[in-house]
Amino acid sequence: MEDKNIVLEVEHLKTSFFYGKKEGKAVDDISFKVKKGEILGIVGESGSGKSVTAMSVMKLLGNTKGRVVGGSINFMGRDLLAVSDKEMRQIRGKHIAMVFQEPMTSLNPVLTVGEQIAETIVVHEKVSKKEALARAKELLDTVQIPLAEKRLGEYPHELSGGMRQRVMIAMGLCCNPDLIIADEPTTALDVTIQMQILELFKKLREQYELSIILITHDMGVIAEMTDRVMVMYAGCMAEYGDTATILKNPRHPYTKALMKAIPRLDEKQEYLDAIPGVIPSIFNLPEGCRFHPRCRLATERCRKERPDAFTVDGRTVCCFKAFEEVKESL
Amino acid sequence: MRYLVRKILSLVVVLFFASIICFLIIHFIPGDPAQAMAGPGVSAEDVEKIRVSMGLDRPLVEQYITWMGDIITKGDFGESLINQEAIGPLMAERFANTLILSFCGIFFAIIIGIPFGIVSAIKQNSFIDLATMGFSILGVSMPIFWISLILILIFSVNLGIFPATGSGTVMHLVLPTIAIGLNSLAVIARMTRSSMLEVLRQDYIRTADAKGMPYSTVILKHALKNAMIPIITTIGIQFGYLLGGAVLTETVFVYPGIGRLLVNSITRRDYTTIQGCMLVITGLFVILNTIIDLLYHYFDPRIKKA
Amino acid sequence: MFKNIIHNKMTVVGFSIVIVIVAIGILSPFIITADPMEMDLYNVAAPASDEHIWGTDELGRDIFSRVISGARTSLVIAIVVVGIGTVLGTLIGAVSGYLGGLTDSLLMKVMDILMAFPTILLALFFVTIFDPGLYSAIIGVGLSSVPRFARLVRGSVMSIKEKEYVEAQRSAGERKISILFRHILPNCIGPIIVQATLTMGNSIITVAGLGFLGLGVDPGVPEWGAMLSDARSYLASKPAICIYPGAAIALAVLGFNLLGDGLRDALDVRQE
Repeated sequence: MEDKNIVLEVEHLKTSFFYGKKEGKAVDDISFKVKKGEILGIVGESGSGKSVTAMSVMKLLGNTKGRVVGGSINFMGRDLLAVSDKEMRQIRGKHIAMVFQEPMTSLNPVLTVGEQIAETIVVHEKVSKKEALARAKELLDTVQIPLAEKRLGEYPHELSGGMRQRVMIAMGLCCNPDLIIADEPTTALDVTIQMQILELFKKLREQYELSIILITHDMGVIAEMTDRVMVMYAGCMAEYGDTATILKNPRHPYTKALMKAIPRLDEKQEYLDAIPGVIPSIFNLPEGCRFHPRCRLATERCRKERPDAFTVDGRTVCCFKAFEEVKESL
Repeated sequence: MRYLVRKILSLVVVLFFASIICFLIIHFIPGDPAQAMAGPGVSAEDVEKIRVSMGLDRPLVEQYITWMGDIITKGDFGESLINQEAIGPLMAERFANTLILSFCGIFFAIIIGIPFGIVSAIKQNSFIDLATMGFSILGVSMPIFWISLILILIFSVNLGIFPATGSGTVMHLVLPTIAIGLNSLAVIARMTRSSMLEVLRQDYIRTADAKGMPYSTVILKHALKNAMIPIITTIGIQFGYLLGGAVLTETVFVYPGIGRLLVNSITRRDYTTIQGCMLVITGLFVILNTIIDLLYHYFDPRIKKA
Repeated sequence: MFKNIIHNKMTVVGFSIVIVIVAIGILSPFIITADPMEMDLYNVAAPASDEHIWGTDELGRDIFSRVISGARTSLVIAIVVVGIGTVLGTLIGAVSGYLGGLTDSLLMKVMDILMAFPTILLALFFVTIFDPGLYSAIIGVGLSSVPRFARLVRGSVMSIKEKEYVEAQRSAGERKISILFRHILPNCIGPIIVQATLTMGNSIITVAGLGFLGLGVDPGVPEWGAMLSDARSYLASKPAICIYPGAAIALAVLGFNLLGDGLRDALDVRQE
């Protein structure tokens, strides 16, 4: 029964970047599910593989040196890794939409806002340009852009950053997709605008029973917005489960560190001061648990072996220390 | 709108000064302008006659106003010093021929150069990319008159497909078009490639892909329209070079254009015709550059409001 | 990475061609096998032989020797042209960019007017005034190269002069002219070198064009453009006469263009 409710199921996804003979494992064995009407958060520092995961699902790695090297991506019963480029273009925009981090550069500077929304509708649903433009106007109303009619004829450079991100969201919504992947949709925006955009996502989810993958580095946003969350570190899953459970009782040391580092709303920081060190390069990953060089609890075993995932009270964790703690408490 | 007015004002100023320079050619020549016009071995009385009939005895400003006034109001460029024919009608005919040749040339360069540039960019480092780039580096290095000679050698002398010289039919236009357009083709292909490569890296191309736009739409609409901005400038500059190239191409192919008229007039020291030709070619060149500037603005909405 | 190697290779090729052409230009008296000016009317348009390895031209002159000697003609002209462009252009650009205001507007307007004439037209203008010949060609082509240098230097000067160290020098009481020469101009040297290299190629082609029109160097002087022009009537019967001088022009221009492009990438100079 529950299966019908699952929109996206990713299993053991592995994505690597290749420079000459060097392989950089950007995503290494990631599994997660997104249910209908659910918001899944993916959280981690820059370089943890969040965006690469999203781009792998969208199959938008084509222009980069990256490619999916293992696992499966199942979207509404279809294996996305098996579909052709042409089919994928029919899925993108219509069934899965994406909102990017950079509203300033993600809109085409030489096409009007109306054109950019309407062309998407025309491509996916065989409607006339006029009808598409009428729908574009409604969409701008939906994402609460004032003077929608006038905005349709304007170019991106005439809009503020917040407005542009709303346009991006309207563009994502235009074909009533089943899933929206929002990659740091508010990072580039002012704090007040951030709140408005996040509220908008919540409203849209309720209105359309939309499934959303929300990628962020901000535990505050996770707490505010998501039903479930996956914490990623250096291409691996650290902890994955119900947001409420994890926030109440984080098991993985990295999750704990992230929570300590919840940035105040008036600061934009993407690197964690709370934990010493930086995330490793994908071309220079440490042996054993990838988090061990920065983990105060690391033992000899953490340096040598990669921890397996284990499940405890409704969440999955990858950590030897956490496993021991659970065992002791039993 | 203000931009348009400013551009046109600037155009008028440049045209004004350019016309003064063209007008002054006769006066720049060392010695007496009337003597220069009369040519060597002419009696002193005849020189004086010419001085009066050409108005060379009057103040410079008045001469300029008369000359320019006649051109603007009546299209009258004066008479040829060689055969006393009116220059205006002759130049009009020659000018039309040059325009035809130049437009054919730039059209040829655009319709071949842009597609090759695009393919080169989307198939970077492929065989076709390397071939296109190799050709374009070679293409800009070959002098137009040498290309012309080689084309004649291959297609007229050896294969006998196209006539080597003359004008009048479409067949006569083929070789001069290729010769005059080849340099520009190379430059346009190269510019298209680098401009496309730059654009294809941009975030909005990823957005277009993420929206599920068909590949052809992503390339031809989203990428090309942005890439066109620098390409348009290049085309404009190339059109200017083409006008210079016309002088050479027309000479090789004995094509009755204004460039050849100018060269012939220089050899014959027909100063009035030289003045007229210089003015017309320069005028076209300047007006063209202004149009390109305006087109640039049409393609880039970001500049409109700035 | 692949592209980088290709690019470097191209630069190396360009540099090698330039070295070879320059060497030929300097050493031409020792390379030639006959006097390039000496006519032999009994041996006109002769095919290649032991005595004349590329044959003779329409006046019985040795083609090989003329093409080799042509390198010196072209190089000398091009160097003078580039000299005019660099010196005048740098001066105008530096003054314009450094002083700004009315001086700047006036000088740039003059440059605009100069740019209103296509290069070859400007050359023809001087040919008309001073009669066809070497000097007219050099002045015409040289002057038409000035605006590009001027704009380039002006741009660099304007961006550099605001930088702090110049401010520091100024407050230390150094004279304007000395600031300009000692601190600002050395920083524009990269773009100037690139522009000069590319202008070498362009001047070679334009001057050859004038020669081809019969409006370049004096008759008889071995010059590639003029040689092509003279050879035209033999195109059908002896195509070789037309091939060598043209190939020489193309090769020289190719060398300078490749080198210029390579330098631009290496010095990271952006084009206007």
